[in-house]
Amino acid sequence: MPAPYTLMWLILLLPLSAFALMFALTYENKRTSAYIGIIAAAGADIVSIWVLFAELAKPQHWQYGLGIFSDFIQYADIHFQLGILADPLAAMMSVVVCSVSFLIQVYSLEYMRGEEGYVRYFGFISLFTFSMLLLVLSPNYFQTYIGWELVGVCSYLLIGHYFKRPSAAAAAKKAFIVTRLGDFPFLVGIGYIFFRFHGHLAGGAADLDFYALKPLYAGGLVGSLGLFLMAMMVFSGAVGKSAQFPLHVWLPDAMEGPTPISALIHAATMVAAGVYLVARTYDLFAASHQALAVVAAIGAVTSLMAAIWAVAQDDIKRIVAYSTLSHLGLMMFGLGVGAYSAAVFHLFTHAWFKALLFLGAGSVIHVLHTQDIWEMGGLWKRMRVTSWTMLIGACSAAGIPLFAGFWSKDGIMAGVFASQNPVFIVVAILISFFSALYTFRLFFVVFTGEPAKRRAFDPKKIHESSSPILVPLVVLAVLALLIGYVGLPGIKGSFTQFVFFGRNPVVEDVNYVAIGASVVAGLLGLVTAGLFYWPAYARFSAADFNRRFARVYDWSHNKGYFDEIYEAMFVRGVIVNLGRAAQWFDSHVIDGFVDGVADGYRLLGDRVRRLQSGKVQGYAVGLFAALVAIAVVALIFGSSGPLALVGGAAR
Amino acid sequence: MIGEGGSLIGLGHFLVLSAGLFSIGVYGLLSKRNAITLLMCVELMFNATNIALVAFARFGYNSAQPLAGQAFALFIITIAAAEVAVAIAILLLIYRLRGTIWVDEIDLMKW
Amino acid sequence: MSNDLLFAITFYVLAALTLGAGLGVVILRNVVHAAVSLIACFFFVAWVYLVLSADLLWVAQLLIYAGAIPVLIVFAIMFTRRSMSDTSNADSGGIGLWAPLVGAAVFGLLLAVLLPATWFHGSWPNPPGTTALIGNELVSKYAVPFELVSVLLLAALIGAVILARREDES
Repeated sequence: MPAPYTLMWLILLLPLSAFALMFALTYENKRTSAYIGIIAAAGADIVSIWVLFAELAKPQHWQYGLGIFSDFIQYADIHFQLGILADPLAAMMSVVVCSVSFLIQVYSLEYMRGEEGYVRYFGFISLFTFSMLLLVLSPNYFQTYIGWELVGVCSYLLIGHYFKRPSAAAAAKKAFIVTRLGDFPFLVGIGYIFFRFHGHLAGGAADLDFYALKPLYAGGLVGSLGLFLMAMMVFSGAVGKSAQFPLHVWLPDAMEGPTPISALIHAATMVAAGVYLVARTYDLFAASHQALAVVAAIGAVTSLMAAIWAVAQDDIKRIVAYSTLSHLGLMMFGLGVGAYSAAVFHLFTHAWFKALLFLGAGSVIHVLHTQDIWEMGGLWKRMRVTSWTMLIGACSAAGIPLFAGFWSKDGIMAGVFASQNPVFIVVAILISFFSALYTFRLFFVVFTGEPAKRRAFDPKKIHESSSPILVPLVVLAVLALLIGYVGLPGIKGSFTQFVFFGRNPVVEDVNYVAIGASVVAGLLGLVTAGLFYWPAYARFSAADFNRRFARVYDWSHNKGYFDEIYEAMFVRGVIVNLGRAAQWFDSHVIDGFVDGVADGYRLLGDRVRRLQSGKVQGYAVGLFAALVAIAVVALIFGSSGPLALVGGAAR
Repeated sequence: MIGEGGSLIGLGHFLVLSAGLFSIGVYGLLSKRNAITLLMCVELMFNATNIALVAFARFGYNSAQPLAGQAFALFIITIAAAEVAVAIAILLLIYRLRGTIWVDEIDLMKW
Repeated sequence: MSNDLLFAITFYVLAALTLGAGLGVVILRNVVHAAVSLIACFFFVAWVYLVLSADLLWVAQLLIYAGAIPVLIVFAIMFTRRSMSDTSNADSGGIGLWAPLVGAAVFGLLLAVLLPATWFHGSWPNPPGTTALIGNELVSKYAVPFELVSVLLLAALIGAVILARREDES
């Protein structure tokens, strides 16, 4: 095994030991802790990039167990392994995770200055990074699930960073519980896969191994219904983590965490895990057309709804959050219609421009101390770097031609058009339109025009953020501008020829119809946003529009009332009653059982202690009677009888 | 004559004598109420045991340890003497404290 | 009269006297009577030892069991005069009802073991006097138990004194 692969364990070890080091040794020392985290992420990043280039030169699909963990559980013929998998998908994703984590930690140096729990924050970022890498580099479902749950825990810890604020604590809880709804079927699905394919794996492979399972899904061992169920159970995990409809409700609330955490969750770790999982287990989905159809439908619904809701939000972070929802839905959409490479490519490009958008929003929030876009405005002249980088991010997110998002998005568009499903095509065009609309609505409202008047806030005080915040912004902006060119369609050696599904990469012809429709829709969205929200060119009043179509606006503004519906249906209807039932069960059945045991023993003790009469002759009678009884038994049965059990022998 | 047995009497006879004396002791131990009588019954049982041991020693004269039984009996006599002394001291103490040595009235050690 | 027959008669008479005296201990209601019966029983047991050629034990039994221990017991009876008489609690019901049953069961059990076995039954060897031999063994082979018993006696002596002493005596 050549050099970079032998060092891959460092990718896992560095963030993990950074986490351990911070909590064990340097908890009191803020700067040192932060630098430990940054250096660890940088080290992991270097190894990942090295591996990525090795993979680019010649994809190897290396896979090996991690030392003593290669036999993590070994019992009879059951063998669970912790290991490392190096293939193009894993190499690409680990670079994304490490790089974003690194940039976000640099950014946080300044952004989190003076905040409570500074070291806790950096420690959990390192743990978060480790968990995600464990998941990304996992060669089997078993390790994936471990990483999966660790990611969930870390997101809980970081969303609830300001846990003294009730809304943050509630948001963290909501994120954890809602994703759990998806995780449980996922776990059941892993069990299902394990039991159906255990024993059929090619020689020497650990149980649940992705590559060993590849040929088995479609191998006739499981019928189409079984495959569909497996795929749906795995997909439900992805739905929870990637916040797809109907489990999307946790993601906007997750904005309660610090802004860089939102960037981390949205760009590289938590929500990317769902899409990554579907990409990783795509063989399973490819074996069931119904499953792919469900994936596509869920992705399309999520993407379109989130895009529409994003237009009616007032909170800058929530707009970006709904943008994430929309883009994740788009990736699922792409996976569902079979545009595997394009969807994974979009996951790749999305990571950079979404991190950029969040960190840019964070820069604005850091200066203005508000998240309401109507309290911002006119920042173009005062925050030059932030404005420019945000513009690049917005163009990339909206799919404006030549920016990163454009190349990946149009791959997905081509896939959707290739499916020849008219509903899908219309939905895809609408998504393009709305994503440009909400992205530039955000940009125009925040950066153009004059600063909004706020009480106790002097617009003249607005100034650019300091360099630890700006450097990651610039780096990400450059990536958002240029990274798309690694995936130019139809070029040999491009992204689609590197990460692909199946035996050979599919070289698709450039679909100019799809690109044209998408670009026109996007530009239309941009122009609409300008006509409504760019003060210098505004022709329509958004307020008028909202009043006239109040019903639509309210629906959108209130995120489709999903929170309210869930609250009424599940929380009040099911969970509260379930809680009451559990409480009744606990206090009556469980406690009743425990009390019953105690009462039983007390009653028994009351009876038995009467034997302790204090009359010494009573004891003597017992003694001699027992002696006679034992001797009689010994005489009758001899040494092989019952006394042999207690070691006694009669003769 | 002493020590010269005959063919009519064997070890079994002495052992049955021992068993009888022992059982009498058991009966008394279980049925009497006066603690001093109980003590006497225990002494009866000791003596029954000693008879058996001495008989074994006598009939095992040609064995490797011809005197082990007698030595045991001697030790038992000694220990029994010590036991009686301590037991009577305890009885006197109980009598002084509670005014009775009837064992069915001495039952403080109960639930 | 042959030696064998004489010996048998001696044994049966001694056995009958021993068991009779033993029964007297458990049957007589008066504690003093029971104590006298006990002394008689010990005395007869001494002669059983002599029949078994255990001359040292014969003397020890006479001195300790027939002599010293009864003295202690009689003293104890005197000190606890209020409880002079004894009624077996078989009369008053309760646990005493089990006494004859358990006693008989123990006897039956011992017989069940003893009777089927084949015991030495024939001409006896004629051992020399055992006093000197036991004396030698006590200080050689049984030296450690011998010393331990002496310590035990001392402990019993001190313990008995401490227990029986009145609290107000300094």
